[in-house]
Amino acid sequence: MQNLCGSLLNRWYNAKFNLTQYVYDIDKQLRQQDKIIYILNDTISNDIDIEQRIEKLKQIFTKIIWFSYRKNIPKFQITSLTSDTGWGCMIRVAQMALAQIIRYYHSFNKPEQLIVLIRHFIDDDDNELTDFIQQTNKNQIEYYHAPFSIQKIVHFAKVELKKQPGDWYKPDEILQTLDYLFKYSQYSLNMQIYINYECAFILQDAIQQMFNYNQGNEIWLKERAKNNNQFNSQDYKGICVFLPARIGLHNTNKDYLEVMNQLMTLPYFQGIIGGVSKRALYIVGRIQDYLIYLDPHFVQNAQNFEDLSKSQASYTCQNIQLIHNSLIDPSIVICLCIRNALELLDLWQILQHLKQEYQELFFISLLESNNELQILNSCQYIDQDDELVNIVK
Amino acid sequence: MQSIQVSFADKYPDRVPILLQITDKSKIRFSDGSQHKKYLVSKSDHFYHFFQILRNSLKLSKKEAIYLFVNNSGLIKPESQVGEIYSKHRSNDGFLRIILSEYATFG
Repeated sequence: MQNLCGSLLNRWYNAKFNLTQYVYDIDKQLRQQDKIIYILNDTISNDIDIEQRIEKLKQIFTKIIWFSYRKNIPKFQITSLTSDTGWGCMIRVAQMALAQIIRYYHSFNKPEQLIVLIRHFIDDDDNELTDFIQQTNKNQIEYYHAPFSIQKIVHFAKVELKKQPGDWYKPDEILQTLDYLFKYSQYSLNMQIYINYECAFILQDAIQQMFNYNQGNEIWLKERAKNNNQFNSQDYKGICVFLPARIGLHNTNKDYLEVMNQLMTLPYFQGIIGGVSKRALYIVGRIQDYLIYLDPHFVQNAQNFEDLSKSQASYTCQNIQLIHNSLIDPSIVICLCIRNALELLDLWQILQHLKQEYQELFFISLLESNNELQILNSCQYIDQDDELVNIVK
Repeated sequence: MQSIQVSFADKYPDRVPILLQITDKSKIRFSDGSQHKKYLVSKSDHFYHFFQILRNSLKLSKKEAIYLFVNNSGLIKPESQVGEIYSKHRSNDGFLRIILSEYATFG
């Protein structure tokens, strides 16, 4: 009975996925939007004819690594579940964002490079989980072929976040999980993850992540950027920047959408972890007010390394999908990739400029140093009575 | 309500009363199970401190994202000054009403 329900559910998701194309007639919509197309950190200007532009968009879009629901996933260990249909979409979307950033940072294009990268996220991780659990218990760190497999994600979420397999994820929960697992990936040799869960971008912290220097500020960064060529690539790391934000309480706030639109045109933009009415989507670009996204709500068979080596076709998506930005959920995470001092300085200056332009509508807190946050330790509060809490500095 | 407010203002002229309400959709609760609490916060303070205090009393780690809204749509940034937000968004009864929300879950 469970199998029958599962298989009906899979069919329902796949039928819905395919129907979207026809219902919204994406191709027609694309042709109507005679505007600049922003996709990841690429721009397709509107001075070439529409056929060429759509062709270019398709070229970029169909190369993006796509992760979707999978069935027949073996060895979850702590649960009898064998599929993430109906609950894993936020995991898939965050996997897509991380894979995209790693790929961009390393400029991976060759099939063998992509296979190694996709293997990091593979759904059948060939018994690695048992070893992983033993290693983490002993606090040893070694690199795994598949540090971001759904088995390891679910294991960490259960142990650290008390989430049951099959629970839905919030964006901050999956980011915490990937951040923790990142050290088990060989890519952590030359990359770091920067996340501030209070929607702040703190230059000092970003410099710490990139250059392992804890007193950084704008002046230091300028000096460093000037001498960028003198340093080896081993002297610093690239950063995956995740900026979690909530751009509205019940619905998205239009004013904040304008700022989001601007952030999507940054040369460092690597997508948005977002969604619409409980369905997570990986938003990769926009045409005017329409967002281009990859949808993880399509069920495929789980693969192991052998399957992956034979064909990578199930990790790309041919269907370009669009959604109007007013429909998205206010919970978003802006994803960026910064590769060196010059880029970090440029990002910092662009963000400051945007903050000046949009004032309080610029929903990201920009701070040069984290000193202000340190003051917190000296602040105390008194529970005068249960009725009223008086805060004293 | 009005009279209570007047007494706040007399007793603590440098502070403002805040009424914090956790959104209905959230599972977050204060230790007594309630979804709202009143605070008196110094006007010159920044919201960093308020965030920190909320995290402490709601037992949330630094890695759990929470967001504060005024007027059902305006996001309060941690660097905003309490007095400034208060003067812009205070209600008629003298309280600054803030709604706390977490992230949505997705499946």
